[in-house]
Amino acid sequence: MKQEQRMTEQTLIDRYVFEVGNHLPRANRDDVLLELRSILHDMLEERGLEASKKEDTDEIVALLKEFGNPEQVAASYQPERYLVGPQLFPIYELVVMVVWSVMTGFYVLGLLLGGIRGEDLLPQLAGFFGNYTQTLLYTLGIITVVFFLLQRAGVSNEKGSEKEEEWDPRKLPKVEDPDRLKRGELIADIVFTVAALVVFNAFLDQIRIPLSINGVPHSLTLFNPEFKAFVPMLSIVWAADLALKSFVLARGAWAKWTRAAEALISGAMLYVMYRIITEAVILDLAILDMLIKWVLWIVVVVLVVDLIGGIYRLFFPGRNAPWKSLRLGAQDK
Amino acid sequence: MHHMASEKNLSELVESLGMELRRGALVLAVLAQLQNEQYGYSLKQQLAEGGLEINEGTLYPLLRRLESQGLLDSEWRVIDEARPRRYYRISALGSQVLDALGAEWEAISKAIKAIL
Repeated sequence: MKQEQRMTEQTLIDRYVFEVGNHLPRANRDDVLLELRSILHDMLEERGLEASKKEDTDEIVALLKEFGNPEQVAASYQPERYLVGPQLFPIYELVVMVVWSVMTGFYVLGLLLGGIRGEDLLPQLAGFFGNYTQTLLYTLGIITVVFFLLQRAGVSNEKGSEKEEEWDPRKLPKVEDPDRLKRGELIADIVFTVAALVVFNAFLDQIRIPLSINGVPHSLTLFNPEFKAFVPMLSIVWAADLALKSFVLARGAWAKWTRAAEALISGAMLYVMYRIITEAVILDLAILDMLIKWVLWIVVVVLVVDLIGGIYRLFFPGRNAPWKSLRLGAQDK
Repeated sequence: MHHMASEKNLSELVESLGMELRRGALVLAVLAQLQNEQYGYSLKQQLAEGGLEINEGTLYPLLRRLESQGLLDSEWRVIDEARPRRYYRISALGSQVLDALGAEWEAISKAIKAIL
């Protein structure tokens, strides 16, 4: 009985020290624990207690409680540790946001196109969310692991300090007003659209690949008839775009509804492009056809990201130019 | 309800900001106190007698950190009793840092007093 009591009293300090040790890295664990034990004994002594006496148990408990939760005590012996530290975090956040937007764009586009083509959406939706969540978690997991490894390897955005010396306020980019009309861009857009309309409708068969068969000059049409079937649809979208851009140019400024119309036309363009890529042979040469489809896929992705940004700006217009309202506010006074 | 929440917020804010305020000063106090050799618990008591009550979980890890930064020297020793203790003393580098930080402290305290 007496032996057993002594055990519990003795082991309270032992158990505490041991538990702290469980949460310490191995490197200098023994040394830290030895000091901890020595400090605890000093504290006991100061209070006129002895670690081995039974009647002191309550006081020992009080003392240990005062000293703190073993996990927290161990944590305080270690420097702050990060999964992704503050130096790397901005880059991490950027990468996550870009990957997340592109992926979401792809999935939403796929879903929308499925809907447009009359597929049953409900069973698709369930699969969509499952697949989307899984892919997203998997991708973000890998990104996080990579950044964690960079963090552990001690890679930091150290160039920041070098940059600070060279940093020149005059080199800061100008704040762009997204509603301001960029005439040059608009005119270029219109010219290219007109050119595309003319070429694809009037001269498509004139685009030929020169060949010579047995010394006799020949030529092949470049575009496949399957693609030509889509030209009217393509032309409608281009015509709509042409009308809108001309109107905006004449009016001198973008407005909310012209932005909405632009988004709508982009959506229509995406739909046509998707159908062409998936349903038609574009070019008669198989290798070129594959190549052009890869390029078009990239264009589709860029357009989707652009479209998402456009729709976002449509709903949260203020966030793009907070300085505008600030300056207006100042002028009002 | 908003008022109650803000009262609780106030005490939490004061506590966390106060802790931040003390953290830097604590280094100065520890370096100054360790111009004479001390072991952990005696240092804590001396600081407490001087009016600086410090949590164990703050002081002892701080000693380790200062030692790893080369500001303190330490060694295990057994004096009088059978129980070993780790004794800390300021290093040559620590003394230089203490001088510089002391001057800094004077400047800050003068400036803050003038502002307050």
